[in-house]
Amino acid sequence: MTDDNGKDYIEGMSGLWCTALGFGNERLAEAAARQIRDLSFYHGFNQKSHAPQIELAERLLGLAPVPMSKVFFANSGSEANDTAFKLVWYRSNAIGTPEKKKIIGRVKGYHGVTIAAASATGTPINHQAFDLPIDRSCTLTVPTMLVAQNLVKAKSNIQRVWPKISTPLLSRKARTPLWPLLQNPSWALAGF
Amino acid sequence: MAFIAEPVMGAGGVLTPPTSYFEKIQAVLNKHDVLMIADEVICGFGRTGNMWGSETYNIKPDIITCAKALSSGYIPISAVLINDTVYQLIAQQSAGLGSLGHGFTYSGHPVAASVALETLDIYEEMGLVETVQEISPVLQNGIRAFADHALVGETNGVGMLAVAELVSNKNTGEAFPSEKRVGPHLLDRALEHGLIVRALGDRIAFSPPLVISKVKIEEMFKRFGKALDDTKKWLETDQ
Ligand SMILES: Cc1ncc(COP(=O)(O)O)c(C=O)c1O
Repeated sequence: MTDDNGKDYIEGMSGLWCTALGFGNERLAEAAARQIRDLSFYHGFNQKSHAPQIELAERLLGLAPVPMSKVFFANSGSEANDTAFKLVWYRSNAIGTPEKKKIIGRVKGYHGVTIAAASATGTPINHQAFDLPIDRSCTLTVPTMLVAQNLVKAKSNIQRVWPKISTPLLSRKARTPLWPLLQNPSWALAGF
Repeated sequence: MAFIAEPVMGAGGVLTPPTSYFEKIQAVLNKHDVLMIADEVICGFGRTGNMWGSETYNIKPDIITCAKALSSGYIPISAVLINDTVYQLIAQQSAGLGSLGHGFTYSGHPVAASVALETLDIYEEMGLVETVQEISPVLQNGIRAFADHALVGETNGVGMLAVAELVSNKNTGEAFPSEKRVGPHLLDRALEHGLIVRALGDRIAFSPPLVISKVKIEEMFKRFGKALDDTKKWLETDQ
């Protein structure tokens, strides 16, 4: 990276965890140019699709770490997470458990800034003055992994530590569908 | 109902989970029919030393979301992968309603999809996972070498993610008061030495391109060391 005074930098963060292949990769530039010439735009509504989209979906299914069935494309991490949550809600209605719609995130977890993704995000700055989180989501967890790590190490401590962790969670208005989860001490073991 | 988690928390401070963390969580999720969503936006595509963070931490997600390195960040595109059990129920519901009323104008945009495909081609040709596994020890050993520095508390990381936490007391791990803005101060010193990193509070994060060379990583940490020393001097004279 070079700034406007010609000073050279090492980009230690790939931008925002993005540029796995570094900057200015010619092949990616070419791929974009080629596609713009070939088919500049098409959408996926009304049973339409196009080769790059189909091929990419198949490639992703081939790479997936567990068997996956379908791929939905969006434009950002936030949109992908909002989509995932909407599909979860849709599924809840399909199986006749419309009351089970909570999205459980974690303190310090980051999932984006659209309304649902920000709600599942566990940092106050992404909630404050936006009237978030929405009531269909909540964040759980003890704040540091160190606590979780110690818990995993000292299983015998669960009984002692669990009430300390669970009290603030449970007092935060018992949200019915979450009740069995919160009561389970293995959440404490897992860092909750 | 669903539980969503990043295999390694990124913006939260590069926090790696304890071993067996996700296995224990998933046992409870399965028992109560809570879906597991793996947010692979940062971890996906090699970042943790496997293709997916889910592989590194033995997560068996029902849904995966990914973005960023899917196109090496060159063009906006993200994806949601769902398993067949979830899909069948959604298909059933949408058949009843006539269609699934969800989709973006730019979903699967051909230009973005082509760039993503080319990115995946390059990953395949270079042997992405092998590349990361070969180079990542340089990053991991490099960050851990700072554990001796007076300002550094925890050093941690996995694959091509690394973090060094700045602390005011090395023995107790006590943090600096946030109004002291030690992290941001270090970032400015790093810039002077030609290094761009990120401060997540006082946790300084490294997530370089996966194709970075050993020499570049060493140079990166040399610059970080200078920024650390400058910050230490500033703290000493400031007090
Ligand atoms: C783990 C994770 N999920 C989701 C997002 C949100 O992605 P976007 O900024 O593309 O909406 C980010 C962004 O940094 C992220 O790190």
